[in-house]
Amino acid sequence: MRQVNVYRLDVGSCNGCDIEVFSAFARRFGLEELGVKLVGDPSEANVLIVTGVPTVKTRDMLREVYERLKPPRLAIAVGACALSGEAFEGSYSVDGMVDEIIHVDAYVPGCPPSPHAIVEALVDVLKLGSKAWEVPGGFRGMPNIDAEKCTGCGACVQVCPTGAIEMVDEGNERKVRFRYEKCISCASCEEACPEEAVELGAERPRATGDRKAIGAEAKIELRRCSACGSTFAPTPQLERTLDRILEKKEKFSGYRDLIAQTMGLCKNCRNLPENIRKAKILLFKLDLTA
Amino acid sequence: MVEPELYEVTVSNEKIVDVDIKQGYTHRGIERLLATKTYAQGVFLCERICGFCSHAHTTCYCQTVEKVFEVEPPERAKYIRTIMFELERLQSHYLWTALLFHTLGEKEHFIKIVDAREEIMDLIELMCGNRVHYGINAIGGVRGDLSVEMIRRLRHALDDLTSLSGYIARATRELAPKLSGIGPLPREKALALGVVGPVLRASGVESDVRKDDPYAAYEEVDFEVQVEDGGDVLSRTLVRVKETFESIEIIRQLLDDFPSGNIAAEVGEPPKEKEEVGRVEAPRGELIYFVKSNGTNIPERVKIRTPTYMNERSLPEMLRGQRLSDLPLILESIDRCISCTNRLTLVDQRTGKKHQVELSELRRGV
Ligand code: SF4
Ligand code: SF4
Ligand code: SF4
Repeated sequence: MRQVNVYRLDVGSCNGCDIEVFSAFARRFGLEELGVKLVGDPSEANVLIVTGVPTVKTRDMLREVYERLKPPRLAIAVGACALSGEAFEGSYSVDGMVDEIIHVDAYVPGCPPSPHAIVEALVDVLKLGSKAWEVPGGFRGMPNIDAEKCTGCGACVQVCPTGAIEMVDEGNERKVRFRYEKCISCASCEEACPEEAVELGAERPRATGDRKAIGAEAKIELRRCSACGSTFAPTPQLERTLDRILEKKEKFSGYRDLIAQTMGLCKNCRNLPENIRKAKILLFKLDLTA
Repeated sequence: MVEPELYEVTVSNEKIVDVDIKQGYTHRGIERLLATKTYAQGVFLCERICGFCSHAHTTCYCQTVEKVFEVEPPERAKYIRTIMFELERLQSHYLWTALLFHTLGEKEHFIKIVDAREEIMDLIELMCGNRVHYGINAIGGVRGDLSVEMIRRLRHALDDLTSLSGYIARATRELAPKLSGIGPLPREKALALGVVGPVLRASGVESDVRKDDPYAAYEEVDFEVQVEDGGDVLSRTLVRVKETFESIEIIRQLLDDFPSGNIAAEVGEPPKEKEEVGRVEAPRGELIYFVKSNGTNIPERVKIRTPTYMNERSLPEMLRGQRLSDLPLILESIDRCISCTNRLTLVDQRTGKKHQVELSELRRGV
């Protein structure tokens, strides 16, 4: 493509992404030299940038505008809203995802993605070479997770304002997954994690062809109940709890194995009369040492 | 410049007879969502109501929630909030002037301002880790402190911005004949319609929440509310341009006596049934929040009144009797967002025929 004409369409954004698409055309980013310009009429454009989450009122407009584009008719979804509906997914006025309505060639995550990332995406999709910029210190990128430290406690899932973190138990495993398509880099997860397992990356998120593929994940082993064999809690969480008890009450260290045995039972088995009795005896012994 | 909306404009002999505005294209149901998120999560959601005034929204929300929780943020936090508030006003007003010049076909001014504005954006990114949604506000204070290095850079940038504002003021004077008398809104009409912010001040009314009901650190600074009497596009431009000088002065003063200490206060348990109202002066005018608690960590109800909602009502008044070719300029003058309102339905008063046009076509003359 010699002349690239970009049309920007807001289907339900906060303006944030639109401001940054706009800023991407500031001279410092050099799009004009590459023959890329913004146009005000979709029928003059061959590239569409979509921002925001489709609402009941804009859904049809998106399809119409897309159909008016000239070939090769490339579409780039910019921002968490356009990728995944972000925090607005499930709202009564939101109607589907952008890529359920039109074909999307590239996705730029972020809320909003910085103009640098938008320019990178454009240059990438249009095969115009490559561009890269420095990132200032303290930049809030996407969260990374340290699988060694994560205990699968779920604190991050609780605080995330957009529902970007999923926790699922499958077989012997608990998966904690950060979906970048929904993440707004707010750092709430980093602040909430008791194990310091999450840290926001310092890089600007890059465009992708598959929005579901981008993310970070930790797999944590689930403990099987020593009596019935069902999974009931993440192993590292049980270990960490035991360590903490013994740190606080050094005198209990002689009972380490006994305490671990009691903790190795699932909720159902723990409530069996036989096991309640055992637990009571243990508590009594612990009381005596204290 | 950016939100989609549909205008149905009735015309007769190239003159505007009536206007009907169809809204709700970007309605995302945020008030309802806010009543499903915790108070802390709500901050990030409010921030995402608008990319231009994200900090105004979080400040207003946090301050109102702080009243509900009866918590007072530390002085340093209030200063940081205020500094960010004025930086936001600066970038918003600058972008607005850039778009105004764009509408006038003054490409050179447009490019110059958009480029220069990047300096503020770099600075905001350095201070907050993000350029648009700062993520710096929290209930009880702020989440990030300003380092000595940031303050040094900020002071330096303020000097550059003073000369940028000077440049814009000169350009406005040059172009004044094209703006004068366009889109009139007399004082009485402005008051009757309840417009707010720069639109109200440009119709001769001295009203500014920062002065009338000071919040954050506004009581500590000395500044003037900018008022103009013309009630036209020129006055609206002058008010905003003069406000950029005031914003720069406000930030300078805040940096001069920047208090030390903590940046966040401890927040207690949510109170049972309590409701509060808070307001701030966003770049586009008075922004109001209502928050009601119910004893849980999720608010019972959050209600928001944004400035554009009020200002948009004045459009029919400003547009009636004006030339159709001035429509884009008048829309721009209330600082709402238009460029993707590529759908404008024109209704011919004689024939009743309707047809849709691009806004950009209007300037070429339809
Ligand atoms: S992704 Fe973020 S910045 Fe972009 S439209 Fe959505 S809320 Fe606004
Ligand atoms: S930074 Fe963490 S808490 Fe914030 S949106 Fe992303 S995953 Fe959720
Ligand atoms: S990342 Fe941290 S907060 Fe999230 S589940 Fe793992 S340990 Fe818990």
